[in-house]
Amino acid sequence: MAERKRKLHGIEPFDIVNVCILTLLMLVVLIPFYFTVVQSFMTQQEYIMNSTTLWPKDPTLGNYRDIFVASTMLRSFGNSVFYTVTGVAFSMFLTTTLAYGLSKKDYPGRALFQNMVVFTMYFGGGLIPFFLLIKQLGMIGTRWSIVIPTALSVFNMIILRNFFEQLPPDLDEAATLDGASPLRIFWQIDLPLVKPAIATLVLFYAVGRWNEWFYASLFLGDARLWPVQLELRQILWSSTSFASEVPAEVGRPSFSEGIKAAAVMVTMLPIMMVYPFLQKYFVKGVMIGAIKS
Amino acid sequence: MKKQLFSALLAAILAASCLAGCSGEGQESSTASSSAQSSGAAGESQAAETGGEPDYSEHLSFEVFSIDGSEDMMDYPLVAEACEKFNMEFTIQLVAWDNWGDVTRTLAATDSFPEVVAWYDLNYPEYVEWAQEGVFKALPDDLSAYPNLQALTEKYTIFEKLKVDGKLYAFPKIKNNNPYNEYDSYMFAYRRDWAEAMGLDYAPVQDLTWDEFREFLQKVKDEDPGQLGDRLVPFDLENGANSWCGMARKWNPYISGYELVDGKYVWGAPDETSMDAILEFKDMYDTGMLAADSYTDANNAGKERFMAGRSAVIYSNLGPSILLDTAKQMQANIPGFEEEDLGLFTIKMDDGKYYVSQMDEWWGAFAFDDSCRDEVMERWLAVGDWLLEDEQIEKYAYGVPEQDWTKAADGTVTLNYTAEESASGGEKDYITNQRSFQKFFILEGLDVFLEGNPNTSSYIINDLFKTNMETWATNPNYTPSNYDINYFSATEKDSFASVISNTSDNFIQAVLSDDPEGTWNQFIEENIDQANRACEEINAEFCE
Amino acid sequence: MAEMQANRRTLWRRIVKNRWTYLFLLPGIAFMILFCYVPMYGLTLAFKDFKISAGILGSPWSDPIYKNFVTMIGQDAFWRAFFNTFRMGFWYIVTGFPAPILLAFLLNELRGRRYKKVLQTVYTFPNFLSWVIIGGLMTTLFSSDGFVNMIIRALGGEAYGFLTDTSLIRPMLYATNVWKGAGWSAILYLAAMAGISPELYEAAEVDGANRFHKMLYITWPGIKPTAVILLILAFGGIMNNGFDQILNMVNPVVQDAAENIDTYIYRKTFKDKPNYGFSTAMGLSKSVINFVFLLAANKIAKLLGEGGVM
Repeated sequence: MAERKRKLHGIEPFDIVNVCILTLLMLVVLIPFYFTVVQSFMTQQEYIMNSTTLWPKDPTLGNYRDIFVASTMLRSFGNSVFYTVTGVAFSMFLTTTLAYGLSKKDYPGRALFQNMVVFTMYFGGGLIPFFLLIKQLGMIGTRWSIVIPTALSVFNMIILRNFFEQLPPDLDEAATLDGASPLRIFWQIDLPLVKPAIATLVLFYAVGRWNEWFYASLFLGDARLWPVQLELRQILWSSTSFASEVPAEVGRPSFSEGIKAAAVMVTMLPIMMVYPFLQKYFVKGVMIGAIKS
Repeated sequence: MKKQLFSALLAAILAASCLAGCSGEGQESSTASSSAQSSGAAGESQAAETGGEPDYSEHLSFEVFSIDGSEDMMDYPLVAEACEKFNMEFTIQLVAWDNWGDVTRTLAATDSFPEVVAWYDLNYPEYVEWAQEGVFKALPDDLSAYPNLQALTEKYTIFEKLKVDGKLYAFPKIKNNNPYNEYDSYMFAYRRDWAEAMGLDYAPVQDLTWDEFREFLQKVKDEDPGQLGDRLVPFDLENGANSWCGMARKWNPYISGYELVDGKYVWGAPDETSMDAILEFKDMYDTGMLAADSYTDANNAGKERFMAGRSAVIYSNLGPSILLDTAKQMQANIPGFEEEDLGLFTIKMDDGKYYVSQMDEWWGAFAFDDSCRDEVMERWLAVGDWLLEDEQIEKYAYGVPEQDWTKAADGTVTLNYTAEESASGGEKDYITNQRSFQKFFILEGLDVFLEGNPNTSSYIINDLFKTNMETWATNPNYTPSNYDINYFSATEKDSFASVISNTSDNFIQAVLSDDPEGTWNQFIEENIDQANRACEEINAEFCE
Repeated sequence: MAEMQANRRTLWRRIVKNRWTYLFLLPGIAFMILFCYVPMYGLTLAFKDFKISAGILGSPWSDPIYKNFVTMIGQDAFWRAFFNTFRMGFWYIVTGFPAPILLAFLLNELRGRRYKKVLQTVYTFPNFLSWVIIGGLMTTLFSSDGFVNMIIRALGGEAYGFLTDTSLIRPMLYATNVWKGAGWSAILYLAAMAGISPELYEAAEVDGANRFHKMLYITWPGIKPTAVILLILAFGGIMNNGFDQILNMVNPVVQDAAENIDTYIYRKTFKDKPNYGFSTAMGLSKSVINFVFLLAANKIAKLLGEGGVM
C-alpha cells in the first residue's frame, strides 16, 4: 500500500504525456498490422471485393489450412528448430569469444584483427567461390551447410564487443588477483555482466536463423531437409496463378495474399513465444548483483 | 617491428589459405572442361553404336534437377510404370520456385548440376553461353531412335534455332501443344450474363469493332448490371496497368520491339500509332473504365478481379486450360454463374483487322549435364518418347486405365472418379499431380485436346476457344515472333533489351500524366540514341 | 641488433602474456579466414570476363582491365540513380537512426512495468512483416478507396492520390522504414539501458536531479557508445538502403523518384543473362564507397573522443 502511494505520488505530467505518446505509437503500429491479421482470415473473394474490411464477414481458416495441408510442414518446423537452436548456439560461441578477444586492450596485432574483421563486412568473394568452398568442404546437401558457414554476423559481434569494452577494467584485475583463470573470468564474471546484450543477440540470431531460406535453397536439394521458411515460400509460389497450372482444390481456390498474411503469423508465433523469456534480462539491476558478488 | 611481424604472419596465413582455395578451384574447372571434351566424344560414338533394339538390362539410378517433384512422386502410377519399364530410378534435386535463377546459375557456374536438368524459363543468351562453355552435353544428332521426339523437332522451328554449332544442347518444351497454337492466346473474355441483363443478345464469341467495344464498356458503367457500385471495373487487364502496353500492340504491334521497315530494323516505340494507344487508354482511364489503382497491381490482380466478379471484360492470356480453370473458379466465386455465362470478344481494330501475334512455341527445356552418362541420356530420351505416345497421354489425362477410366468401343471415355477426388489433396490426386512428370518433357495442355475428354467442357474448348481462333484467322493482322531479334541476337542483347523493358513503365506514366505527349516524347528522346545503336547492330547482323 | 633482439623478446613476452586473448580470438578468426577470406579471390571477377569453363582464376582479364566498371556509367540515368542513392541514404540515416533511440528513451521512462513489456513486444511486430506484405498494406491503406481515403471521405474531405504523388514516395519510404525497424532496433538500446546501474540513478536523485537531468547525464552516456557504433555502421551502409523495400513499394508512376543504384541495375539487367564480372564490379564499387564512409565516420567519432568500430 505504501509502495503504491509512493508511485502515485511521483506521477508527473510527463508520465501522462509519455503514456499517451507510446499508446498512440502502438496504434500506429497495430492498425496496419491489424489489416494483415484480417487478411489472413479472409477469402480471396472477399479480399478482392473489398480489401479494407475491418473484420471479414465470413472469416476462414482456409489460408492457415493451405499452409498446414502439406504433411511436410511439421517436418520443416522441426528442421527449422534444429537449425535455429544449433545455429544460435554456434553463432553465440563464435560471437562471444571473438567479441571478448577483440575487446581486450594492448595485445600485439589488435588493430590488425579489428580491421580484418570489419573488412569482411564490406568485401566478400561472392556466391560462386563461396559455393565452391562449401562444396569442397563436403557440406552441400547436409544440415551443416545451413548451420556453419553463415554463423558469424560481424554487426552483432561489434555490438557485443562494445558492451565488453564498457566493463570496468579493474574488475578483471581484481579477479585475476583472486586467482581466477581467464576462462573463469569470462564465463562467471564478464559474460553475466553483459546478459542484456547476450539476450538481444540471441534474439537477433534466432530471428535471422528462423527466417533463413536463401542458403537453404542453394545448398539443400533434398526437400526433407528444408527449413520452414523455404517450405512457406514454396507453398506461396504454388498458390500464385503463375505456378498453378495444376488446378487447386475444387471450389476453393487458394489465396496467395491470404497465405502470405497467414505465413507472417505462423512465422512470428514461435519467436513471440521466446521473446518474453528474453525480456526479463532487460530489467534493470542485472549489473549490480553481479558486481557485488 | 611487431606490427610488421604480425602482418607478415597473417599475410602468410592468408596466402596459404587462398592458395588452398585457389588450387582446389583450379582443379575443379580443369577436370570439368576435360570431362566435357571426353564425354562429348563418347556421346557421339555411343549414339552411333546404338541403332538396334534398345537395351534396358542395366539398372540406372540418377538425379534430376527440377522445380517440380513431390516426395511421393515415385508412387504415381505413370512414374512407377516408367521406372519399371525403363529399369531406372531417379531422385529429384528440388530447387525452390522462388530462387530458381540464383540456384541454377550458381550450379552452372560451379559445374554442380546433377545428370539431368529440367530447365525452366530458358534464357537464350544464357543457354548459348552454357552450351559453349561445356556445361551441357549435346543431344545426339540422330534422334530417329525416338520417333515422337523427332516428330516434334520437325514440326517446330524452335529446334533449328536452338542449335549451337550445329548441335542441340537442350530439348525445348513445347507450350500448349494444341492445334490452334499459332496465335498468342491473349484474348478478351466477357460476362455474358451481364450482357444479357442489359438486353444485349451476344454470341459466345461476339464480334465487335473497337468502337462497339467502348460502347459496351460505357453501357456497363452506366447500367451496372452486377449492382456493384464503386466496386465495378468495366474493363480489366491481366496484370492491371502492367498489361496496358501489351495490349497497345493492337495499335502498334512493335511498340516494345523492333520493326522491319524497308529492309532495316527500326525501334518501334516512336511510331505515331503508340500515341493513339496511349490516348485511347488515357480516355478509358479518365472515364473510369479501368481500375483506378491498377498501376499498383501485382501479377494477375486484374484477372483475379474478373474472376471475383468485379469486372465485365478481361484481357488476359486465356489458353484452353486457363480458360477452363477461369470458368471453374468463377462458378465457385459468383453465385448463379454458369459456364455459358462466360464469353469471348473478338475485336476488330479500325482497319477492320484482328491484331494477333504469334505464340512463342516454347518456354523451358530439359538438358543433360556434361557429366551425364550416355546410357542415362538415352534412357531419359526414351522415356520422353514413350510419354508422347497416345496411350501414355491418355494415362496422363485420365489416370490408370480400367481402374480410373474405361473406354467404350466407340471411343467414349468414362471416368470412375469425381473432380474432387482427382484434385490436389483428394483421394486420387495422383491423376493431377503426375502431370508434373510429363512437364519434364512437354510443358502443358496435352490433355485438353483429346477428343471427347470428359475432364474438359465442349463449350469452353469448342464454342469459345476454337471459335475465337477461327474468327481471328478470317482477317488477321498477323505479327510473327521474330526469334532472331527477340531471342537469338546475343551480341549486345542487354543494350537494347533494356530500352524495351522500360517501355511498359513509360507507357503507364504517359497514360496517367496530364501531358501524355510530353511524357512519352521525353522517353523517346532519352532512349533514341541507345535504341538506334542497337538497331545498327541488329542490321549489321541480319540485314547485310 | 641487441635492441632488436630485446624488442623481439618483449614482443614475445607480450604475446605469451596475452595468450588467452589469442585463444579467444582463434575460433572467430579461423572462421573468418575460412569462410570470408578464402572465397575472396572471387573479387578478381570485377576485372575479368567470366568464363564458366575456365573458372574464376582461369578467366581472362578484361580488356581494358576496367571494362566492367565503365559498362554502366556512361548513361545519364545511372548518375541520377547514383546521386539519388546518396540523397536517400542520408535521409534514411537522419530518420532511421534517432527513431529507435527516442523510442527506447520513452519506453525507459514508462512507469508500468507490464505495460512497458507489452509495448516493447508490440513495437517489434512490424519487423516480422516482409516488404512484400508492407507493399500490399500500402495499397490497402493509401489507394483511392483505401483506409486513409475512407477516413478522409468520412470526414468530408476529398480522396487524395497518395500513391501517384512523386513527391510523397520518398518520405513514405523513410516513414515505413522507421515504422518497420524502430521497435526492433530499440531493443539494442534497451539492452544498453538495462546495463546502467540503478545506483547511479539513486545517487542522482539524492542530489536532486530531475528526470531530464537523469536522462541527459546518466541514461544517454550509458547508451552513447552503442549509439555511436550504430551511427558509424549506418554510414557504412549508406549505399545499401532499401532495395527490397523500394522494389515492393513503388509503382511505375513514382518509381523514377525512388530509383537508386540497386533498383536501377536490377531493372536494367533484369531480362538479360547475369554478367558476373559486371555485378562484381558494381558490388565492389559500392563496397569501396561504403567503406570510405565507414572510415570517415569512424575517424570523426574518434576525433570526438568516442569509440569506433575499428
